[in-house]
Parts: sequence; structure tokens; C-alpha cells
Amino acid sequence: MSDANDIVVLTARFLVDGTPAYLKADGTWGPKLQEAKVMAAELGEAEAAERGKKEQPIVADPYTFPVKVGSDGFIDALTARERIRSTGPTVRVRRPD
Amino acid sequence: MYKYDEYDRKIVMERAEQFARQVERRVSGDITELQFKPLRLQNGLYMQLQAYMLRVAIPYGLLSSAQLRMLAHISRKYDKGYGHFTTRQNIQYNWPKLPEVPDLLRDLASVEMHAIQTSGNCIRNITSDQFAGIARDELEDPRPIAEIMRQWSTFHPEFAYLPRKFKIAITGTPDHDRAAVRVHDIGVRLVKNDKGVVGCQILVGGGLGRTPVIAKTIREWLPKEDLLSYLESILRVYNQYGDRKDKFKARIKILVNTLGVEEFTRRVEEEWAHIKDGAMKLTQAEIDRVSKFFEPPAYKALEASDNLLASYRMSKDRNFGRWVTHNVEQHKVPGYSAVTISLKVHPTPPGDCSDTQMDAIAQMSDDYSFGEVVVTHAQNLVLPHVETARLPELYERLAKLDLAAANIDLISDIISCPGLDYCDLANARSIPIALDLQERFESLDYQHDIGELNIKMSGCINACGHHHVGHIGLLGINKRGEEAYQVLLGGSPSDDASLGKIIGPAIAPEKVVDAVQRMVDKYLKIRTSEDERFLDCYRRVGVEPFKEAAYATA
Amino acid sequence: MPLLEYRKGGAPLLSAADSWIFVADDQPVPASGDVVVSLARLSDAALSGRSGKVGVRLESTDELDALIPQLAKVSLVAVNFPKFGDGRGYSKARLLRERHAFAGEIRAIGEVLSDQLFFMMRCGFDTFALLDGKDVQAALAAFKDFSVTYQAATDEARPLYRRVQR
Repeated sequence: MSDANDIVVLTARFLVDGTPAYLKADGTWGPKLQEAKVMAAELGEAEAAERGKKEQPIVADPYTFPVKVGSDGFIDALTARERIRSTGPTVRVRRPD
Repeated sequence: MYKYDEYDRKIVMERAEQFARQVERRVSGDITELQFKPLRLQNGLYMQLQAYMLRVAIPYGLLSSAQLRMLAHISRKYDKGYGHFTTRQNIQYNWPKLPEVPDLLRDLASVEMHAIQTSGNCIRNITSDQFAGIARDELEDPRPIAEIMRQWSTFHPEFAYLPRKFKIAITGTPDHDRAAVRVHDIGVRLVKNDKGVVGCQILVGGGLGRTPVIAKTIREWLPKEDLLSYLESILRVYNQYGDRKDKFKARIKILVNTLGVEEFTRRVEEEWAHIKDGAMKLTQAEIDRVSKFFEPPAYKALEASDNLLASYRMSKDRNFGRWVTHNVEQHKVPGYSAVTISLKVHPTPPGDCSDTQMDAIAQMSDDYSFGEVVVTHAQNLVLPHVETARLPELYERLAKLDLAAANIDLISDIISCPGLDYCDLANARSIPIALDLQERFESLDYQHDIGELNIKMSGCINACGHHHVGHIGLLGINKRGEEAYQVLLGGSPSDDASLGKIIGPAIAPEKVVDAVQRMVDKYLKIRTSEDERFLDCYRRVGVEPFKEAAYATA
Repeated sequence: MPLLEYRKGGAPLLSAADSWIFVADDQPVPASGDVVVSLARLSDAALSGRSGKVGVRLESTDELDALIPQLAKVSLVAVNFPKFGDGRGYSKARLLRERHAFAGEIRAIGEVLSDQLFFMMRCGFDTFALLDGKDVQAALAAFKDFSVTYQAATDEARPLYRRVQR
């Protein structure tokens, strides 16, 4: 298994507005993939299960997905789905009128 | 249109309060996400890729101006100032916040609207034909029966936890189905029996998605009074015998296939025999009561306007002429027309409508259309009763709001699901491809020359964009984590229903528009005349010429 | 597991005592007492010639038709909802009441949450084994979530259009 597959990020949805939540190093959830804590896949999965049980009022359905970290520290989400999730819709959200 | 009485009002209001309590219990942790999920789904609240999404029901697509104004208000107060009209005649909001949804539902209830059963494994919105009640070729207005089915299905206690979702559509124009009844779980066609009495033909087991199927007729004719008991029998058989283990085999179309149409029908008829003469028989009084709400509005006595329409089509103002040609439909009442407002205007995502546009359209419906608007399956809006002589001034108003695109049924009138930009289920984005296609084909001359060509795009196999029944269908797939698109040709949702065929390997996103253009240009080259539509040409020559064109490198 | 009761003509309440013993297939049937056994075991010789009532536990995969010939033996049918999303039990209860005129107790067991109670009641259930740890007061209130219903069901044989003048 290559290195890329060994590291993951833990994500979920904020209960209040359903927006993507990423677990940060300080143990709280934030909206930015680039501020997420990167961890080993097994640890990530265990933590996802744990928080899934304990943090129902904050987030829904935590899960992990694999990432790659560039030399500049940029976290690449690896799939179109997680990339778009982390950046928001790639199309204009509303007419400017 | 149907007006709620105290009973209807109580039901939606009590539902809003029930959901408010359920939201509280979720927020407090009394119930888990797993337990809350089906409850929020049955109130139309999805958890999507970017945020929650609320799907509001618009029964058979019909809205009053007051309702449309409320939808605009809701988009401002609870969302980001716009809504998205769907292929099942509903509206979706992409950014609601969970704690605010109960208030949103109360606001909806105040205008006789709701989000009941727009998701979940239950009976969904009853859909019909955007020209119901006004089409010249209509046999009978299906909306009273649609409303009766809506009430029967709302909070039906036995069918709240079906194996899967259940979609019913009805058409009152048996010879020209604009409601796509053949690709629904139950399709109802109003037809005459040999004594000339209008009744219900029942089709079962149609659907798109992973295993697209055209519905089978299981009952040639039923008197209207027997419709509800017959539907109940179908649902009872499905509820008991539909697959509960494999989500992808759980729709009724699979059950009909597994049992075979004969055995399936036998079970339905056997169940029906027990209940057909019971209290579920519809009374003439109820049919009459509901039908009254769909009586024609106070039409003026006008001269027939077919000639006037013809003259408008030839107008010196070419844009206006084209708009009349493509967006205006003849009406059964002399002097009137039905106007389709296109919501397919680059760079707005197909089917999206801003709050200002919704308010303006509501005002125009009051000024021109007896306060009524209808949502179409193609994600556009119809003003159903416009005096033909007033079309020029209506056109001017629409043009000022960028709502006068003369592209109905042309190549830029693309049906597109929200796709991976919004939807948790998607494999690929659909909106950017749709917008790129619109840009490539933006010339109205080009579009006019091509003629009727329905492109339908889905971001995944769930087929919310109806790609199986597009003349050109595009299906987003996941290729090792990246987006790719399959091309289908030759689908049609109507009386000549056919399912599109995949023509070859999936295409990369940056190549899709070129591939479509090459196929279109091929069609222009080989068609027998201007009158041979793309679909007809494909049916005549087969897939090879188009496949070759699609995959030819520049 | 709190047992709720909402019998016809009564009010929703928390049931006091419950005499029914659910006997697993691999356990012997006790000589006395009210016992609930699986459908397969209903024809068991051990059930005859004993004191106490007999009930049957129906799984969602059980065919109701297999129970009907033996219906007279039972005074309780416990319909299991393995997951609350498995809605087969609703049809079973309705058919038991309306088609087969079963007059005994129909109980909802399994994953029973307060959100399903109103519909269960409408389909002919009269007792409800609520999942542990759930708010009983909220559950009792849930029976009254709706004061109006459109369609006929077990609790109301006539659809709205036959009940009232609209």
C-alpha cells in the first residue's frame, strides 16, 4: 500500500447547517480541509466511530477519506467528490441580481 | 386550483409541529442521526454534499402567485436567494439550516404548502402534465384525480416505510403523454372505455435509475371510483413482497419483473377483490367537490387566435417571433395561449430561479394568467392562461428579466440534475457540462436549425436528470475517483417511450461538448430534411454514424 | 422496555404489568404462564394441554397466510420490526384486524420509536414495546400527533370524504 493511502482526514457534517466539517488537530471541528488533522487510516477510522457515537449534537456521520499532502503542506482530497466538497460548488451559486 | 379547507390545513400544520419536535430531539441527542434520518427524509430534508437540501412539494406542479411569492420569500429568509425546480415538478432549496426548518415549514403551511413525503421510502409527489386543463389534445383534466391521489397518499399509515420510494404520475392526454407515466412506479392514464366513459388505465413498474424499465399495463380500464382501492392493493402487494435486503432491487419494477406481470397482477387483483366494494370507493360527491377547484378561470370570450399566433411567429422582431414559435403553446380556449418561461439561461444553472425572478413571475401570473404558474418536468415554468393578444407585452417584461430565452425543446433547453456540485449521491458534476453545452450552442440560428433535441443529464445512475429518456442522454460516472461521462442516444419519455442506449466508453469532461457537437453536426449532414428530428434520424440510421462522430478525434 | 398501550376507546398509557413471556426457539415452553412463540413453533405439541395463553411472534419475513389457519389459538400477535424502516408489519397488522377479524392483542416489538406510533395505531396495533431509553411522555403524546387523517385504515374504516361534509 502506497503512502498516499495510509493517511486520512476525518470529516463529517455540522448538524446545524449540514456543511462539511473537518477534524482539526485541537480536536474541534472546522470548515476547512486545509486545516484538518491528517492521521493514519486506522486511527482515523477509530476516531470516526468514537465521535460518531459521542458527538451527535455537533456533527453527523463522521467518516475518513484518504488524502495526499504536498511538500507545501497542501492537502489534496484525491477524489473529485471530496475536492468539490472542500471548495464548495464549482458553479455560481446565485444570480447576482 | 385546490384550496385547503380546515382538514387539509390541520394536517400540514400538525406535521410542521411534529417535525419541530423531532428536530428538537435530534438536536438534544434524544434520537441519533440514524433514527432521525428517515424522519427528516419524510419531511423532504436531505443531507447533501455541501449542506442540507429541502425539497418542497408542488403537487402536480401547480402554484398560485401567493405560493410562488412565498417560495421567493423563503429563498431570501432561509436560503441564498434562489431555488431549483426539479424534474418531478418540485422545488429544492440548497442551504437551509436544520433549526430553522420548522419555521420554514410553518411559513409553507401558511400558503397551503409542505415538504411532506418528498423523500424517503414512501409515496412521493403526484406529478402530471404541465398543460393539464388547457391542452387541446387533452381527453380530461387529470388534476382532480391527482389531488385525490395526493390526499390518499399523504400520511398513509400502512405505506410510510415501503421497500423504496414510490412515484405516481397521471396523464389526461392518452395520445400525448407529457407526464412520462411509462417511467413511473404507477402510471395512470385517463382513457375512455368502449362505452365512452372516462376511467383509469393502470400501468405499473416503470422507472429509470440502475435498471430502467418501461411500465406494464395491468388494468386496461377502471372506473374512477375504484382507483384508490386499486392503488391500495398495488401498494399492499409491494409493501409485503418488495425486496427489503438489496436497495438496488427494491423498487416495484423489480418485483414485477421477478414475479412476472401475470403473477404480480394476480396478487393485486386478489387483494383488490377484498376491498373494492368497501368504504374506499370514491364518492361522486368527492370527485365533484375536488373537480370544482379545477373549473376553468373566468376566461374572456375571445376570437380564435391561431392566425394571430402565426403572424407573431413571422414577426419582424425575430427574437419575439422565435419566442412565440418555441415557447408558446396553443390553448384549448380561443384567444388564449400557454407560455413556457425558460429557466435555461446561461450562466444560471438549469432550473434555478432567483427570488427576484420568482417575485416577478408571480406578478406576471397575476397580470396575465389568473395567478397560476405550473412547473414542468423540464425544469421550466408555464403561465397557463395568457391572452394571445397580450403576448408582445408579456414578452417585453420577460426579456427585461432575462426570462425570454426562446429555447424550449431546443438543444439548450437541457434537463440537468444538480450533480456533484451539490448532490451527495452524484459521481460527477452536471451543471458545468450543461452550461458549457449551452455556451457552445448559444447561437439561436444554430439551435433553430437543429430543431427539437432534448439533452438530459444525470450526475449518477439515480437518473434524476432522466438521461435514459433523453434524445441525447449524459450520465456522470466515477472513473477511479475522477469524473467521466457516458453518452446515450435515442431515449424518449412519451408515447413512443424508449430507453437510450450507451454508445461507447465514457468520455472525459473536457471532451464532452466537442463530442456532442460532432454528433449534432453529423445529424445536420445526414438528416433527410429539416423536418426529420434528431431522434427520428437516430432511429432511422442507428447508432454507428453518431458513435463514429462522437469518438472521432478533432 | 416500556410497554405502551392504546386500546380502542381508551387513552394512550404506560402499561403496568405484562404477563407475556417470549420464549426463544431453543428454550423449552414453560408448563404454565402466557407464552409467545415463533410461528414455526405454534403447532408444537408442548403448547396444548397447558395453562396460560398462547401468543405468536411474527417476523417481517413470515407469511401471514401461514398464521391464519392457527389464528384461533392465539390471543396475542407480536409483530416484529427488525428495523423501523421495514414496514411489512403495518400490512400484517391491518390484514389481521380488517381481513381476518382478529380480536386479540396486536403488539409492535423490535425497533419501535415514538415516531412510528401514530401510524402503528392507525394500522391496528394496540400495544407497543418502545425501545429502551426513549422518552415515554413524548411517546405517549405522539399518539396524538395528528387530529385529522385523510384515508381509511384500521382505526377509521371510512376515508375522510365519507366521514365529513367538506
